[in-house]
Amino acid sequence: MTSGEYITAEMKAAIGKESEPRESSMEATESEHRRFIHAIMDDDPIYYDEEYAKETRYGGIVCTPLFPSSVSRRQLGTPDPLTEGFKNNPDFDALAASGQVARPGDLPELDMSHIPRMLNGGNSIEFFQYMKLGEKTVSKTRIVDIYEREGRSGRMVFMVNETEVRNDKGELLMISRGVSIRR
Amino acid sequence: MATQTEKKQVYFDDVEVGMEIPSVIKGPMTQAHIMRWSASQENWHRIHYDHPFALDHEKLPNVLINGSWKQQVMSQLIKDWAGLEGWMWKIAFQHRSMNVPGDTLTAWGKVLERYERDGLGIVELEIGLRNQDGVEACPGSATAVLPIRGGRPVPYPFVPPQG
Repeated sequence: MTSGEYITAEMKAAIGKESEPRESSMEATESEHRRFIHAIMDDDPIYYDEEYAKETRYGGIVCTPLFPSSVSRRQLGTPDPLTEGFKNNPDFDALAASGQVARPGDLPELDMSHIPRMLNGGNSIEFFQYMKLGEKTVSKTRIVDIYEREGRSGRMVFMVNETEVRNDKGELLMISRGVSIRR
Repeated sequence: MATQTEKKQVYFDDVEVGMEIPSVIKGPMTQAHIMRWSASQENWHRIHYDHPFALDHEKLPNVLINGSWKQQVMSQLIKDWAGLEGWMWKIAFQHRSMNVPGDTLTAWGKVLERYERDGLGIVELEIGLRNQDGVEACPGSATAVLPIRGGRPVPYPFVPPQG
């Protein structure tokens, strides 16, 4: 296989492309936030004690640092990806039916069926402000780079994405960068 | 109950290269804890709760603790240390090993470098998440911004230092 086939023309053309700004499907609600906090076991009073939190420089209750990543969920009245997934494949792993759903304005999906194995190559997050209950997020994702490296187990393709997350007032909350490794 | 206000704010002046910051410990983790996180995330990936599927189909040693959950613990580590007057600016790490029910996970951090910039105290740390056997799962780095005694407050919303 030549390197031209490994990083396809479609993939090369995607470098630098940016999604539309996408609004989260939900706002940050007290109940979703409460369930999130139970699961991470961090009872920091800035997350629930208004009297305490308003004395801090946050000026009131704030959401957990990474909560902005948890406010886009499948809406009612949309096809059920779990039922659909199992209908086609009893061994469906349900990953594709999980978490954040595809949204209008997403980057077009790239055909990478020739390098189907994917590994999480790590991520980095920069924080600017914590989300508040009642806010939505607006996020944009950009493909920063796609490049090839020779690893111990052969050739690998690295994809670097960057997502900028703002609240619905346009204030910057966080920027996350992720690397996925495919072969 | 000790609250954050009763906790002492850490100042840049008190930080030394090589010092370890207070760790955050979670566990022992159980399948129920994994389910609670997965449900909160609407993450139905079967490797997190379907034991036969994880072993027989995916050839895993057990159901797995979510990488997204580990990310929460790593961010709590730096958020707690920086305190109400400081700021967790950056965290970065990789996912190097799997964690399973029975694991007790310790998020740890060690100061690599400290410098002043634009009137703020910048601290670079090495961070990670070890299990009870000392196996490192999430090697990485973090940048915390701390107030300097007598200096300007760390801005909130955070504005990165200039220069």
